[in-house]
Parts: sequence; structure tokens; C-alpha cells
Amino acid sequence: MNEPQLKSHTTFALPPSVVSKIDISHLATELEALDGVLNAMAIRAKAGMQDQTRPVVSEQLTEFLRLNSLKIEADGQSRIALIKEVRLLKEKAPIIHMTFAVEADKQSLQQLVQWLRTSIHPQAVVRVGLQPGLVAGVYLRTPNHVHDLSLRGMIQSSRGLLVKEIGALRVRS
Amino acid sequence: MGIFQRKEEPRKKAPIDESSDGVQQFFDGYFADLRERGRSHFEKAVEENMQSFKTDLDAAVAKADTELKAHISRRLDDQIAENSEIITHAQEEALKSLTGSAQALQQQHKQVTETLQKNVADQQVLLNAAFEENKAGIAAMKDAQAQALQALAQSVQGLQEQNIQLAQAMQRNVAAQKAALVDSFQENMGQIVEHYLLGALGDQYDLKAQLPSIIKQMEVNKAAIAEDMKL
Repeated sequence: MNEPQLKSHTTFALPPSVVSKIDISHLATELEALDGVLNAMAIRAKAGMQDQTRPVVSEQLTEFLRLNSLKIEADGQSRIALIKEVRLLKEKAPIIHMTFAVEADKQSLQQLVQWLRTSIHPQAVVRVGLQPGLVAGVYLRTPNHVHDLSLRGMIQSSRGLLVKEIGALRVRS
Repeated sequence: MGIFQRKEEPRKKAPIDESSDGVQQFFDGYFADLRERGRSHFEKAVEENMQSFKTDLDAAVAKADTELKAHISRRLDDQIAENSEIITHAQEEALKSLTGSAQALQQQHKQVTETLQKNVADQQVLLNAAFEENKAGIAAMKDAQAQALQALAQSVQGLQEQNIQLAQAMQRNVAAQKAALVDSFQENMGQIVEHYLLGALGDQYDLKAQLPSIIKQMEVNKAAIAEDMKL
């Protein structure tokens, strides 16, 4: 079997279904479970026991492996290195906090993450929050800044104009 | 007394024969004549005796008067002499008593004078000391009063200045308060409008509907977000 070259955690491509750090953690956990299953199968094979069952792999992990051209059936050392890199990815992946006024659905989150990975950082993940007072839009927090892109923020930033208009109206009356 | 010496003895009357009217009439005439004669004689005797008695009485009265005057004069002289002696004695006693009283009075006067002089001297010393003390006190009081007046004048001036400053500060504060109230009103009105808008627009959009707008906003802030993520 032609073994692909192992990528490091800095070069991993993340599928849109992997949105948050929890998803990366799930990937690592699933990889560890798969590693255990594959090791057991290898031991049985060495013992002459033919095991026809194939391990079940989630769609998320499958897509991750496909995007990064990885094969899970490689030798144990490679799996261990992959698990290690995925854990490092979990630790190092940049996080963007996004707070919405309504509950975020999966498809919308995937679209946002896709935009973030193409426009900002290829391995960016998000942490989602909910604050109905925002009315609409998003309250975005990066490691060192906040960006209030909500409707409440826009109205508040335009309050000076509103107050000025009220003052002008008062003077006219 | 002569009046009793001339008194005649009563005559012895002859027995009257009531049966004989002539005799009776004779005797009646005779007796009437006798009675007339006796009455005139008696009156004459009485007159004479009365004159004599009057003379005697006048003499007796004159003598008694003289003797009474002499007696009264003697008694008066005696009484006057006695009274004079008593008065002299009383005068002596009174003089003696007055002399003693005068001496005692002089003694008392002397003691009172000495005491009075001593008291006057003491009082004078006390008065002098009190006067000096009061003089110093009055001088100190005058100084304190002058200082108080000066402080009062300064206080009044300070109060006037404070009053002016206070009035100016109050005018400034009133103007500032007015401006602040107007600003606050405008700010509150802005908040009211804003609250109304937020309440009216709340829950109107789901995330899918907001997604193009969110991505557009992020596109606008893309450079800043990317810069922060590189750090």
C-alpha cells in the first residue's frame, strides 16, 4: 500500500462539519478508538483468526481523512502520530467566539466556518454563544479584540445621530 | 351775834272769851294793831339784823379771803419750792445721765469712726484692686472686641465673596444642570427609541436569514480579524 506522507497539525485541512474544538476532540477520541480496534484486528490476524468486520468510522472523521488524504488502515505508528497531531491541532487551533441572537443551526455554522477558513485561518474553529439582546447579527471575539457586528451594536453606535436628530427636533419645536 | 341778842321773848296771851263779841272785836282790833306794829317792828329788826349780818358777813368773807389767799400762797410757795427741788434733782440726774450718754456716745462714735475709717481703708484697697482689675479686663475686652469686629468684618467680606462665588457657581450649575437635563432627555429619548426598535425587531430573523449580512459584516472587518488571529 502506498503510504501518504503524514501532515502536521499546522497543515491539516478541516472539513466544514468540524466546527468547534469539541469536534476536533471527537476526532481524536474516535481515532484512538479506531486505533484500538485496528490493533486488535492486527493481533487476531497474526494469530490466524480471520476477522471480517470493519471498524465503523463517522462521516466527520471520514471527511477529515479524505480531505487530508489519510488512510486509517496504515501501521500503528502512523496512527499514533496522527492522533498526536490531531491532539496538537485541538490545542493549537485558533478559536473565534461568535455570539448570536438566535440559536445557530448546523448548516449556518458550517457556512460561517467555511468562510473563516478561506478568509481568515484554514484551521479556525468557533465557540458559539447565545444572547437574544443582540437582536440580529453576531458579536465576534478574537483573541485580542471584539467586533460587535450585531444590530444592537449598530443602533447603539448610531445613537449619537439619533440624539442629534431629537435635539434638532426640540430646537425646531 | 347781834341778831340773836335783839330777839324778844314771846308775850303771854290773855284767855279769850268767845261768847263776848265786843270784847272780841276789841281785841281783834287791838291785836291787829299789835300785829301791825309787831310786823313793822319785826321788819325793822330784820332789816337792821340783815344789815348787821351783811356787814359781818362781808367782814368775814374779806377775812376768809385774805386768809385763804395767804394759805394758798403759802401752799403754792411750798409746792413750788418742792417742785423746784425735784426739778433741780431731776435736772441733775438728767444732766448726769446725759453726760454719761454723751461719753458713751463719744466712745461709740470714736469706735465707729475708727471702724469706719478701717473699713473705708479696706474698701478703698479692695476698690483700687478691683478697679485695676476691671481696668485691665476692660482693656482686654476692648482688644477682644476690636479683634472680634475685625474678624467680623473679614467674615462679612468673606461671606460676601462667598455669596458672589456661590451665586456664580449656582448659575453655572443651573446652566450645566439644564444642559445635562437636556442631554439626558435626548439620551433617554434615544434609548427609548432604540429600545423600541430592538423590541420591535427582536426574534424577526433566524440565523440563515442573517447569514449573508453577517458574512458581509465580517468581510468588512476581515483584515482586522485576520490580523488578530496571526498574533
